[in-house]
Amino acid sequence: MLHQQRVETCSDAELMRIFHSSPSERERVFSEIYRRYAQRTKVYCVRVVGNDDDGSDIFQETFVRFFRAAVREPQIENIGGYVMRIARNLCLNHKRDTKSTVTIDEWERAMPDFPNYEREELLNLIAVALEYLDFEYREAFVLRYYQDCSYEQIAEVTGASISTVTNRIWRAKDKLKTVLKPYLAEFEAFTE
Amino acid sequence: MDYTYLIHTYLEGRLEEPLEEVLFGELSRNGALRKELSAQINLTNAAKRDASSILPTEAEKTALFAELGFAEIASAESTLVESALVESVVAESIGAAEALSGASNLSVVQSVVLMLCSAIALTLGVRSDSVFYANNTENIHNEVSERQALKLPLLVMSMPQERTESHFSDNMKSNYAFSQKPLPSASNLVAEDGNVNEESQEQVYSSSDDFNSANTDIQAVKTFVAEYPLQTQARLPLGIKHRPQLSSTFLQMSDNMIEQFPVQLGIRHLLGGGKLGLHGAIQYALNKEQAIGFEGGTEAARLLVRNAGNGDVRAMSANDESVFSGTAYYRHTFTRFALLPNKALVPFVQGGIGVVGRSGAVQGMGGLRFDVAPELSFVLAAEVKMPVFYAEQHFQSKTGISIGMQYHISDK
Repeated sequence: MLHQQRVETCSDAELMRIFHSSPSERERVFSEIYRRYAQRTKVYCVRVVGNDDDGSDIFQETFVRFFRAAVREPQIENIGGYVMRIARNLCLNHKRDTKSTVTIDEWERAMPDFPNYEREELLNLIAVALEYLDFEYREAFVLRYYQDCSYEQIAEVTGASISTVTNRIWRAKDKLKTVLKPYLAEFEAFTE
Repeated sequence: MDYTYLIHTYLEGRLEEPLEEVLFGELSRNGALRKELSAQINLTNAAKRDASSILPTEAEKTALFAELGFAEIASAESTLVESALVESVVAESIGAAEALSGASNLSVVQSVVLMLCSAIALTLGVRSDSVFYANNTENIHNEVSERQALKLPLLVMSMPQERTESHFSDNMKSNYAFSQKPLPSASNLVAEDGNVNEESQEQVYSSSDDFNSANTDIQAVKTFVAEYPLQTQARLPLGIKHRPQLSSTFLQMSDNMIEQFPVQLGIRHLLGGGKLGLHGAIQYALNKEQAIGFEGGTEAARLLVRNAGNGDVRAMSANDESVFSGTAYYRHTFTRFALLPNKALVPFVQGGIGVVGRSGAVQGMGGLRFDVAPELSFVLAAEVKMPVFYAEQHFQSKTGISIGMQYHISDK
């Protein structure tokens, strides 16, 4: 029987078939789905929301909602895409509820003039700088450079055209570059 | 031609060949452009490194699976509780119970159950403090003034959280607690099936067109403020503790000896009650009632200012006579370290001043304690104990019930 095989070797579609044909296997299947998609989902949530705690909450809620949807809906074939859509909706709602935007001027005033950062602080710097981007730019940047998604995948997730995605990625990168300009030399360490 | 954009397009693998040649030609001539290339590479590499640093935690997984009602995970959770108890006992047995700390949100019933469980562990020398009510308030620390000075948006957060908790501790010096993080309350604004809520999406986009909008970034401020929260907590610890010790002392002095030789030296080793150590002490008897001294050893060091109400001064013995003393102590451990912001690794340090009084079987103590690393905390505490001592020549057993009141201010 199909569900006798190791879940690690199953495709997404096969996992969903086992999930529906054998309720006793649900925990095992869900555990495998979590293993496959938890990290990228958390990265997306934490960096797009821009807050570790809220991002973590949304990350967990995403999988709760996925599980409930999976129980009702047998036709999910692209699990990664489905999970990402739920995560994105939750992030959008969070964004709408918080309505955050801070100007580059404020960023510059908040940051010290001297670039003398430890490694972790540099990573934190890029995370904080991301918060200063608008949602769609931040999301495009995270999907492209944090999750290594192709332009086509980003277009599918966001529902935007390829040209819009291209523009968002460039603008996000350009703005981050502007914001982080004094510190980019310090990022050299990451390339070595 | 915008060479910056060409560099980006090239790095994305989307630059057409004729433009590639143009770009390379310019790069060979233009040093500033080469720096731009380096900056773009550095930025994307940093993003990748940042991504690899974000990992789902075991606590998140445990909470998620428990929320979904998976029996195996739920039982694993109770296993965690059991192992926490065992860990607490083990930590106590090696004199390092303060190696772990945390917070919990347990019901009163759970608190009582845990306290009963901890009572079972009494024979192992574990003390249980059960806190049935605690009120936490997160306050804003010094960044308030920083943000005001910078004229940055300030969000004042005051989030009282009532909770009950139960934890084990090593003589009130630190706690081991079970942490339970509730799942977030789900936003009801997304369809259960995960479909896009178009209306909410449009609202977000329409509000986020302007990158340089002057709106306040509430989230950023929250994050900023939350980095340095001060937490105050009132506790009512109720404890029962059994602590057997094997020890040997020498130079126990009689009153006559004090008159002749007011400096008192002593050494003792401890074994039992979770303590293993060697202590040395020196005390100077000012008179029959008062003494000052210093005691130091593998476990602790303390200054002693002691006044014995009945005129009996003993350096290190404890019995049921009336004794009042002022004490200032310093204590460190080499089993627990903290990484300070400047990357220095320091041992856990604890100090305090206080008074201890004992009359008959009742002992009272009060004072101010400060802990440094891994959390900075100040504790104002008062406690009444009723210890029962049993002492043979080299064996001492102390079992006591205590009730107290503590007020903690800490950065965690």
